[in-house]
Amino acid sequence: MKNSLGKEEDKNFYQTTRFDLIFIILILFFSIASFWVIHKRFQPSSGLSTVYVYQKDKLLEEDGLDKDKIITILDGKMQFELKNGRIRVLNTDCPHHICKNMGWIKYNGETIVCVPNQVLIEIKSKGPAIIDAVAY
Amino acid sequence: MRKLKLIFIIIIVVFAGLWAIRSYNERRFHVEKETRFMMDTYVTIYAIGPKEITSKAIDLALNRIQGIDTKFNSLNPKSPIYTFNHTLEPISDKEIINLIQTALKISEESGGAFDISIAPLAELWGFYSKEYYFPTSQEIKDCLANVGYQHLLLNNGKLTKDNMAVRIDLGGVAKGYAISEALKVLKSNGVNSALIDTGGDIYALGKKGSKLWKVGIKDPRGEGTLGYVEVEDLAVMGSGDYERFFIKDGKRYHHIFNPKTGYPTEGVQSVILIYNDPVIAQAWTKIPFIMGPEKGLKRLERIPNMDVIIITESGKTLYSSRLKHSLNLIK
Repeated sequence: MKNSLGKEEDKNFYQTTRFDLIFIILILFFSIASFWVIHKRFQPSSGLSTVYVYQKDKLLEEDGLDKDKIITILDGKMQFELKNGRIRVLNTDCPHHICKNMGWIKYNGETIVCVPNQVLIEIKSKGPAIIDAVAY
Repeated sequence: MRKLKLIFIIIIVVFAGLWAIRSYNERRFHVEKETRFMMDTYVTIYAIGPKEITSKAIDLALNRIQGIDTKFNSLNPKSPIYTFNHTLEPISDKEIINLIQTALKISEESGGAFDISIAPLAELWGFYSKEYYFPTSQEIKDCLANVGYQHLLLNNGKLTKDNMAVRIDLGGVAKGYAISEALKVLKSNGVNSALIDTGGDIYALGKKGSKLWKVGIKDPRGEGTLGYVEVEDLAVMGSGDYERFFIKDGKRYHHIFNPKTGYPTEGVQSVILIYNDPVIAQAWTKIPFIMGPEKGLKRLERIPNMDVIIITESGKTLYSSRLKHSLNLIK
């Protein structure tokens, strides 16, 4: 069969082979996978923050920071308030109340520590941390 | 067909290569972290590198800090400092003497504003017993008779005191020392990228991958942070009137004392100091509290490469000239 230029056309030239299909599927797969990885990695940290409460190394509580609630641990020895995407120590039986005096925390990587009760409150987000630690 | 096969193989090889690079970087930039409660606070070390290296190095560094805490804690009956405080027995431990020597040098350089002999005052005001007490002016006057680094005598590697009631507390330099020793352990065990956080006193070793470490500056009265500084191989040390305090008749009485008046200082809420030596940095954070914000800032600016942020009683922020432009605000 001749084309418009009068040249002989190879019938098999545009024919899709198995390799073409695998090749297209692979390209599609890697494109979607790359998009997904980039999207996950650069997702902003706000809105995904979770607060973790540990005593020594034991996880006592895990909550999304989007909730408004009161957390009570150690049979009422400590209470935390979660409100408007932040957390603070509301009540504590420790002598110096250093943890309570720390006030609210809200950023990824921020912590509050109660040394007498050996309690660590930590905010973690899936995105990159705004700060790595806080000096005070 | 051959061409397509070749393209197919190239793509597979490229992706396999990328995958291998990613796996290598994941190992290289793995973040290992451990927290322990000690030094009357928490200590967290983050280290970046292969897990088998960082995990062991962090463990050894934390053990070293634990050892320093036991040895330098004036409230621990096993510490030579406790013995010194409760008897007339001198201190001859070389490691303690070296740190005392540094502390006494800072006392002299600061005209007595920094003083390791304020322990009787902290005790009188109840900061050790955890039962706060508001002393009478006569009690403070009596106590001051035993306060002042001039009561201490360092001679032939031994520290002695001129009367039984003189007591010392190395809390003003111990965290800095613990950090500097932990750094040595981390480095000698192959870690060159780490962050040490000893209850808000920070040291950033190297970089966090290709970026600088970001250290937030706590807002002393409000929530969250004032901003952050980006640092590498620097200590970011803080002191504040908001950590240990009590309120009496609407007035705040905190744990930083003026060794000349015997009362907690006034005029400064917090001081953040950025410097390469954590021991020196920790000691000098107290100076603006005692000298006052403006005079304190001027004194600290005389120390080469030292940067400082001072939050005054009225909430005003004073910066050393270099730092003003490098503080990143996140509020």
